[in-house]
Amino acid sequence: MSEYEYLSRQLSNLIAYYPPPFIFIHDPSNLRQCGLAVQSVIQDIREASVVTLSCAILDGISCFTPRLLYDTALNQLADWTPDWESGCSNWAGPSDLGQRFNENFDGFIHGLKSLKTQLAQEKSKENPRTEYRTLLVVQHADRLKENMSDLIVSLTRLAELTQMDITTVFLSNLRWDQMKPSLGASPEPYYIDVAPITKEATLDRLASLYPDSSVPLNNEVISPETYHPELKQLYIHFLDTLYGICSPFTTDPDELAYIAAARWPGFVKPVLDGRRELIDAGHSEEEVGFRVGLEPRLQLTKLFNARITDALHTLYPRHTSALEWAKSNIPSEDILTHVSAKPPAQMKNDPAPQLSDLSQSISRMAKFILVAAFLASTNPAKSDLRMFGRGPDERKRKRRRGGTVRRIGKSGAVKIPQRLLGPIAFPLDRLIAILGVLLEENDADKRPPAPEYTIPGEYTEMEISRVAIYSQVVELTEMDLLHRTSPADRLEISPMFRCGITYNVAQIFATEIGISNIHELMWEPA
Amino acid sequence: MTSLQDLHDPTKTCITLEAREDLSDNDDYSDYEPFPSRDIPGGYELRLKAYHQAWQKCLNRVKAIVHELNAPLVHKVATYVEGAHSEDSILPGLPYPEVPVIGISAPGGNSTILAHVLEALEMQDNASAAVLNTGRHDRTSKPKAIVSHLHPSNCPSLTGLMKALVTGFVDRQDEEDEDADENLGLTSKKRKATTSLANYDIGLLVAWYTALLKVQDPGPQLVVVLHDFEQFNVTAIQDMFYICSQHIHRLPLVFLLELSSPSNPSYLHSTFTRSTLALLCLQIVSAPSGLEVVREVIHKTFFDVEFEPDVMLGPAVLDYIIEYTTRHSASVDILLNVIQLAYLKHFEEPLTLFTHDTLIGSRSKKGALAILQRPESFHFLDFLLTRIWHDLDNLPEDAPRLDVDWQQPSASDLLKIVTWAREGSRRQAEHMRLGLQVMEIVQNSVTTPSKSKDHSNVEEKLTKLNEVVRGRVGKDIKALALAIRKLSGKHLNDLLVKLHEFFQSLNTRLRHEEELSRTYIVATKFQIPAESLEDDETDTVPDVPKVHPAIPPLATGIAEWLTEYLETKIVRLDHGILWDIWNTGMTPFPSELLNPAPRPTIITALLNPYEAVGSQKVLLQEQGNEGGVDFDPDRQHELWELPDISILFRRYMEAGKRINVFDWYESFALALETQRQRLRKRELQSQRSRSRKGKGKGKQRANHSDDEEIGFDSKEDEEKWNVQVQARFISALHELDFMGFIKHTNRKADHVMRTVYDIPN
Repeated sequence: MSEYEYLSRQLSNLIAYYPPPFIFIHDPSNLRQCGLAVQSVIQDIREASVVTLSCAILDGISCFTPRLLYDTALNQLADWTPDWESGCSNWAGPSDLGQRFNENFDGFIHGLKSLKTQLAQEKSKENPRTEYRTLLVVQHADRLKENMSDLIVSLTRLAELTQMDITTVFLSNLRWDQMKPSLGASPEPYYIDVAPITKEATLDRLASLYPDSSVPLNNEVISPETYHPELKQLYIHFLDTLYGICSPFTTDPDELAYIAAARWPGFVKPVLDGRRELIDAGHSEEEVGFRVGLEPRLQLTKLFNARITDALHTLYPRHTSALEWAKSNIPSEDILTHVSAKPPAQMKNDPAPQLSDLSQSISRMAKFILVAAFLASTNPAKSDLRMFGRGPDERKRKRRRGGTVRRIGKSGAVKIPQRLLGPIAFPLDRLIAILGVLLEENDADKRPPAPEYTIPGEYTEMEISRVAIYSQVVELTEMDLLHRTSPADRLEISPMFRCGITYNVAQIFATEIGISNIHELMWEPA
Repeated sequence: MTSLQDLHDPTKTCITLEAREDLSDNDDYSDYEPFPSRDIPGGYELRLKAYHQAWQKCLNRVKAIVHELNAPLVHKVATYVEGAHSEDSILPGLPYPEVPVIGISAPGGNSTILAHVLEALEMQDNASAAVLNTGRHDRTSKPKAIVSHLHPSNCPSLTGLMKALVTGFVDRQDEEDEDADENLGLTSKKRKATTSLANYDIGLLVAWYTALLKVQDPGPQLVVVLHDFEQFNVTAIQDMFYICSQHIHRLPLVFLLELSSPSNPSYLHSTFTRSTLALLCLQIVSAPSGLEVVREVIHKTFFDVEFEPDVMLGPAVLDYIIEYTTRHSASVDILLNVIQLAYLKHFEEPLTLFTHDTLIGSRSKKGALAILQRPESFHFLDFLLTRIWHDLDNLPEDAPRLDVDWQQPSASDLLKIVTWAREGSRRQAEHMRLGLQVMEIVQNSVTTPSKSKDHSNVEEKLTKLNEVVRGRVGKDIKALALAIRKLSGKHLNDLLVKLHEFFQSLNTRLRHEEELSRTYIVATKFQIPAESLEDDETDTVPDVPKVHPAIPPLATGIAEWLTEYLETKIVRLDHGILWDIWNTGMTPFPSELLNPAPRPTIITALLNPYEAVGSQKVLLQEQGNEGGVDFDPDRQHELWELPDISILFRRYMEAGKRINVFDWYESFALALETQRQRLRKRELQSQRSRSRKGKGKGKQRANHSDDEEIGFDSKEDEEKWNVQVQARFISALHELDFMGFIKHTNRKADHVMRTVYDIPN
């Protein structure tokens, strides 16, 4: 019995007999699946008509204001769909007086009460014997704490406040004690904890997603027979392999289904190709079934092992979408004959092309600014004079040598280099000053001649106060390569920034602009 | 001056001081004459018209090029948007429907790509509507995609964002300010603010779309364009995506993101949580941008035989473009700015009046002559003649000349010369373009094309263009000739075929002119023996290439022909009569306008106020030849002669890190005291000199008062003066504060911090 079946049975029993006023379902692994399970429970109860159930399923993210919550809840409970022709009006009570229930919580209570009267009337007409329940399900209930924390108490005490047979069900991947209001204002809920889903249940669920072949596939990427019913057996084996490879990283059924959807068309293609060849050779379609023997199946599995790992690496962080990936990873015709062939190189997630893309899209000055920002974020401000200060006598920079000083001993605290602690924020002026030094030392001979500047350093001085530099800084901030830490609307202070590139990127940029060794400029070199 | 009365009103907390009338901008340029000594009356306005014509031509060309460059991507995006919810683009077996999102990344800026995409979406609509309605424009035509725009400034929070998203579709107004829903065939009662769904409720959008589906099936795609995507509140956007994904099976939303960050590493992947990314079917495409686009645009605008710009860019402007785009930022917008500024500056010159024709604003040649023969135009004629004589001296002896009296031409002769020079200059530029393109064809066939769009590679290509403009191509031609000599029969044939194709593709006039070259190419092509065309790559022994004996002499012949051809075609453009009317030449580009350094400029102006004002005047007037400019650059001004703010700033420069405001005030008051005394003395002196004329007395008294302190007439006057000094101090102090020279500290109320140090004098 899967975890969700356990949940379903418990919940349906509760609802069918005497439900507690407040149920809290905690599922840390996959809230979407949990929500689906609850919905199917409700569906089943409605179909079985054990009790008359009016139910509203809300979402803590979608209902981000109280008014949205009231509107959605009442409309769903009253089974009312606002339509455009009548001006999208909400459910307005049985009397059709155009009452307003969404103004505040009192209004909502009034709404619930008039709903009760309406339902009572209907009940007496239709089926006087069955019991009658109201259910309010809130998914992502933890988000209520951010948006409307004062509503949580009232929602959990709805049955008390309305004197109705109403049950509030909260679904969350946080635990109740992490979101409950202080001072015990809410009643203790009836807890249902959902354990992580097991392998068998996951595989069952994945297999149940196998698309129905009665719907004809009309897709340019995959062949129409990809999801032929006879291939389902192979699919189940495929899922088993997939689970084996991916489970150390994720066991989320949704993620696995996503990867499977992208990988399966390519996996099954050699089989389909082989079949087509046979048909082309004159065999009849019925004669050539979709059955795949053990031998070819093992061969396929072996062949695709590495490719499934690639799919995981690319698709789990969503570097590309499943469709794109499936398009670009259709195996070649002769894949079965070249068993030993390694997966094509483009499948590998190589960081190098990423960088070249970045380094081409920004200008030379932007690289200077980013390197200066990196130095400003890594070096302590106090070291600037020693690192970048240039006196008339050009004395040698004094720098702390030998990397980190480790003070192991009484204090026990190890000083971690700033580079590993993350960037520190710096004011714009400091960035510009460091930029000036970098430009003066590495850019001076690449500039076009300017005879109007006579004093040494004057050219750089003018260069760093030009508008282009400032606009470049803003542009880099927009590109997320610099992070602005001070609010944009405060004009009276010097804006603060934080560097957004890593050590490796800074090193590459430094080489590109002619700084051979960025370590020379770092206070605590790596 | 109502604001001055407001000063006395204690109830006012804020007073607006209006700008002085004499400082306000004056847009009227009808009597603006920057070069009175060599211009004709109204010349400036005429030249502005000429500028407008030339610039418009260039701008249209650039727009067309950019459109063409964007076209493949635009098509891709438009197709994606169209089919985002079709079965074709949804992979079967996905756990849940995803929200289609396409990001257009244009680092460095490509402001037009989005407009082009939207245009393309609209065009597809119109095309489909036209098919449906058999070509007649029908108001009831149903769009295939409805577009709504979201800007970060309107959407600071989730509520704002959802409201913009929902009302962007539901409350659309079309251009004629009518309710757009009626065009879609939707009718509804008026929604009430309280009892209807909230306008930030996605349920409202669902209801609207459900109603829309009743009148139009299949319904249109709902395209949401998120401008400046990086500026949106990240949490709000993530929640919005979640909410949309909950309803995506009922609402065919497609999101179009305008990204200014590079596609890789992607902004979305670095900022959004994985759970949000899992909701999206994300695709990021890179718009053409950067140096490559700049090169393409320059090349196709100024170095393409198909297009003839009215004014050619000279080496100075090209230098600046290359420098700015490689160093600071490369985008078409910047390029357009530079070209426009260069054109504007170019048309300052009086002679550029003749860029397009010699009519001088009149309708006929007669009218033009009449204008020239007016006495006011003599300066201009004189200048023109001097210029022509000067250019004539530099012309080689054997150059062809127009048959006019060069030494004493009449006004109509002058106009003829100008027309002739224009033709010549255009021809020269055209030849240069032709030569350059031939050269590029040869270059591409002798070297293996490198695919990399490396910065340095593009930069090199740009620099090459610059050398072509300067006529420095001898070395390249020699290298090419050498490479041709080594070509095999097959490659030679390929080269000739390509050249032939190019010459065939020219317009009729040019094709006619290039008759000789074409004949030569065809004739030579037939001389290549057929057996040498066999591909030598099939040769199994690469060390001993089998060279057909007829090939080397042929190759040498082609190389010689090409060398001669290119050398006659590619010549410097800064030669010939009046060449600089059609070429911006070596005129330096006014880079200060595009990339100024405001802070040093302000500091210099504060330190030397009279020079700053004077140089401004010099800039506006002709180079100091007119009277009325009271400016002597060598004169050192005394402290008391400076404006208040400059006095204050001088003291500021002399102070330490912190400035005591009271001391500052004291020293300021001292300077003002000197100022008052000196001014008073000057006044007295002038009064006296006037009275001396009458009475002939008072010399003694004048001598006496030179070293005498001038006091106040009354105590009241002194008090008034003190108040005035205080007010002037505060006003100047605030101006400095406003310009960011002062930083206030909380520690010492009477001290302020300096923000600027180490200013070289």
